Amino acid sequence: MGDWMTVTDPGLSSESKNISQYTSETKMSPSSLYSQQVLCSSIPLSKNVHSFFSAFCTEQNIEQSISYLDQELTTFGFPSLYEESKGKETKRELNIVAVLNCMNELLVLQRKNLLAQENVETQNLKLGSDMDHLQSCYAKLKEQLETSRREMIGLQERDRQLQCKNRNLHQLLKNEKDEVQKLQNIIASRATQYNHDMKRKEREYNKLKERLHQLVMNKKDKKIAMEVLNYVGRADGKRGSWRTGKTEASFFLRNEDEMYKILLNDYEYRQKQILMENAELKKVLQQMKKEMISLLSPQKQKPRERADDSTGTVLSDVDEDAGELSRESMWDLSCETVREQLTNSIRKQWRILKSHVEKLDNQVSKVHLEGFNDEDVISRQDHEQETEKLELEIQQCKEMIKTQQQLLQQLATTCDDDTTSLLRDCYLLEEKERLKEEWSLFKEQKKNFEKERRNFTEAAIRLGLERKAFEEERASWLKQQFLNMTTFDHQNSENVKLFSAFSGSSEQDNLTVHSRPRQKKPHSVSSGSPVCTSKLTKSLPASPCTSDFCPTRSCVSEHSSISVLNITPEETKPNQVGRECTNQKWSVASRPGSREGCYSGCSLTYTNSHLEKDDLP
Amino acid sequence: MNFSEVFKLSSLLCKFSPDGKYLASCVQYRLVVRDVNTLQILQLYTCLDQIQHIEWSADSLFILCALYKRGLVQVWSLEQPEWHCRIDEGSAGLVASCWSPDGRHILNTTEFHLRITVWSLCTKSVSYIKYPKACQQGMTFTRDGHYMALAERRDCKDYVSIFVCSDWQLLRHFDTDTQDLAGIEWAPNGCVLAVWDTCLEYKVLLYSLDGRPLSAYSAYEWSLGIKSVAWSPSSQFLAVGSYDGKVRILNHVTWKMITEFGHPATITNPKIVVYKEAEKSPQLALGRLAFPPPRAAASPLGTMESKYEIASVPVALQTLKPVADRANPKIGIGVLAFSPDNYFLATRNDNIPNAVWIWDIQKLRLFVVLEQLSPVRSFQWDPQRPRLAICTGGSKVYLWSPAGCVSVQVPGEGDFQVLSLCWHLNGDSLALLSKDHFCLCFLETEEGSVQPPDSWATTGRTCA
Repeated sequence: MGDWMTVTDPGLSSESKNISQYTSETKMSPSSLYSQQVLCSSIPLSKNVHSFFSAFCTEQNIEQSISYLDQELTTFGFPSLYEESKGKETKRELNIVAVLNCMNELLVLQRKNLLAQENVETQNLKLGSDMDHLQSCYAKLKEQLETSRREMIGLQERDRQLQCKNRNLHQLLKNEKDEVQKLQNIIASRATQYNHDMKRKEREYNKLKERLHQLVMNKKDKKIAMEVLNYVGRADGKRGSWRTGKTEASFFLRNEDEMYKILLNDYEYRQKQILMENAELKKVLQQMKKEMISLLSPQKQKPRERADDSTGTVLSDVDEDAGELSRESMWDLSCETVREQLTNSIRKQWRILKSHVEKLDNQVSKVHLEGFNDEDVISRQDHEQETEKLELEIQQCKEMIKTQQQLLQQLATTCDDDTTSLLRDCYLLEEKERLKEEWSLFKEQKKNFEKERRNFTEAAIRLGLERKAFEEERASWLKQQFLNMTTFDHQNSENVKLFSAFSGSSEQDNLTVHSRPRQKKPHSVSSGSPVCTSKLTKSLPASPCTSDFCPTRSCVSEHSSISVLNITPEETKPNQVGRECTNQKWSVASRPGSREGCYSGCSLTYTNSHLEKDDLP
Repeated sequence: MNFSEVFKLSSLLCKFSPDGKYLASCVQYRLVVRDVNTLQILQLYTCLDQIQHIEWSADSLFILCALYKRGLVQVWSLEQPEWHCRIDEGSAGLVASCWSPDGRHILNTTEFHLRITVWSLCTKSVSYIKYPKACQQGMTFTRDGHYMALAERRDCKDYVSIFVCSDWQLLRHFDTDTQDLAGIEWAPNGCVLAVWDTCLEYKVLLYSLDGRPLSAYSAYEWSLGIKSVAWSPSSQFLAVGSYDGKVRILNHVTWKMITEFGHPATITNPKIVVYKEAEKSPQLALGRLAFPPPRAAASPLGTMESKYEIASVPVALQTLKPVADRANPKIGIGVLAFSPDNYFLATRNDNIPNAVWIWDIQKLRLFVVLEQLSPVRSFQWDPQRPRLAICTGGSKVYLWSPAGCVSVQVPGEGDFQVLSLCWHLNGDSLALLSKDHFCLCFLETEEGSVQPPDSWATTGRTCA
């Protein structure tokens, strides 16, 4: 109860405090006050009644309180506390049982009320929390609503803007269209104007031309003339015929005839071509048809056996058709009569073929679904074995070829011409060619070699002779010197010095030094550079143009010997030469030619032979 | 491959005779006729003034020299050196001169295209044809020489007249449905005449020999139209190159388009071989170090050696941005040529000037693209084989065949800038023309000796 008191509003409590100052009993003051109130008002609250129960009934007012309670209880529907009155004047008696019953009932009620109150309170709490939750939810939703509303407004704004833009663009488009229309009109009008002007100008121009023509032609321009030494005969040998009025028409007719002849020929030619093409196509069609029939007929039985396909019957129809057509020898008939039959039958067969192929496809897919067959695996194994075998065979063959080649080479080096020629047949044509070439080169080289050797021996002999002569000369000279020395000492002292200086060195050196100033003999072989001259002698027979080629020869030979060095390896293996190389070769080949013009070809051949010789020593 | 020595030349006038025996060239006012094989001078004629145009007669007996400035034509005979003929057009002037196919008549076009005068060398007769049209290609002869088609303009309308060449009689005269006819060309079989309109309108018209219109074709409107036209040697195809950078091929049966060849600046199809010319850094070949100090080292960049490399796709070709506000913009297919065997078509797109496109006509697809280092000046097919010679104004000549391609340096003192080239009839030699010189380039045939055929073949093998 104290709780309840504190809960009550402060104004009331302050009031009660004031009251407590007046009354001595602080604790009981509210209840007493209430009791007074109750007494005064005589409409007490049930609770108040309860709380002041102790104070409610005193010794003095038992009767009053009982009657009061009775009154109260009866108003609440309880049975009366008093016993049934027997008479009016008799005092009513208090019925204890009833009082107890009432009390019990009141207590039960009280308990019930307490329970109910508790329930209500918990419910209240629950509802309170629910309320809070709902309130928060509400706030959130409200926020969301706000944001979405804002968004919507934004979107609406954008939409409006876009619409505005769109409207503008539409307007622009319309304007542009108008503009285009206008421009087109302008162009059209200008074009017409232009054409008109052009025509006018052209007419004027034509008039002017006409005038000019008249002026130029009527002036009897003596300059306009042809001077010919004598007239030439016609190319076809005919004479020019005079044109007269009579012949004019016939000429024209003849020309027309000729023209139509040409045209006719052309058309005939084209028709022939088309006919040929047609015949070809017909042939192809026929062949196709035949093949189709032959392809499809063996399958005729199968479906019949299966008896689940309709192709068999169709095929028999087709066969009949075909037989009929072939009897009529349709291919010679004109197109119209045959075309329909032909195309129909082909189409029919094509359909059959298509269905067949589709069926096959289905089967194939089925097979794939089922997985690989055993046969397939076996065949693969076979295949592998076969390839292995073949590889082995290839290896063997290769070895054979190698040994054969070796043998051949051996034979080629040892055997005489007959056997080599026989063996060469085994070679490929290219190799044969190459060998022959090599052989000829070899021969040539040999010849050259021989020649050179001969030259050398000759030179050696000549050298020996010369040396001998020289020695003789020297001896005589020495002798003379010796003789002279006694007479002219001072004049020849230098010569003697020179001689004495050379006396220690080899004779050859001596020889060269002396021969240079003295001899200008034609056989230059012995003098100077033997290598260079040998080159010259060798190159002479190979070079076809000699007269004006000589001065440049040395430089060319140097030049080309180097360039040929580039070329020859390529030439020997033409198959391996790449594009770049050949390009290079071209340019290289053309370079020496640039100097000598059309001689480049011969200079090249010359260099070729030259090179081979260079390689030999 | 050998080169002749270099001869003098003026205004790129150098021509093989139709029979392939002679070679005529001009030096200022002199006409020199040489033997093709020995290159020795056979005849030397002196004209009155600088020669501006020469042409052999079809039978290789006469040569016509036009001196436009003087309005003169001088004709020389090869058989009779003392024979001469001089045609003076007088005050009418002269702008073009050509032989008729029989080699006995000369057709002179006067100034302002007032008329065409037909002079006969056999008789005194002179014929006039009035109203010839001044256009790109207004006169064409059939290959057999029977007929001549001439574009005319009367009363602001285009007409075509077909003449019989034997007696210059008018055979047919018909108007063409063109705004402003630009050119006419006979099919090689002489039965169909292709007529095309000015570049402002895309229009090709085909007429039969008897003047019947066979067909008309227009690929698009408004934009600039046809730039070049070529018949295939079999008369089977008509290739039309236009300003949109495409070649359209018409067939001879329906005269409809079979296919169109675009010329994209990047090539992505890996099947197409792209040969790219690349400069070869001068390697230290031993030949260079040889005794006479090499000229190549001293000469400028122009003589730099080059080679072809096979570029891997995708390849971006060098393009030229055309100036839009100029007349005759450098765009579109400017040059078209079929190979003599009909198998290939070579084209040049003017805004990708460094590239030559070679199309396979059998498969109707692009076959090879050659990209040069400098703009392609001209190209010409070998008359006998599918072999294309290209020049770019540099000192090299380029050859392509289905087997591969090569670049060949022209030897000579200083720079020999190949501005133009022409094949000999049998395809064994090639005349290379520079501004004031020319030389012959001999290509060895299969049976030819030492190396070049070999190298040619190997080049082919490795390139293909």
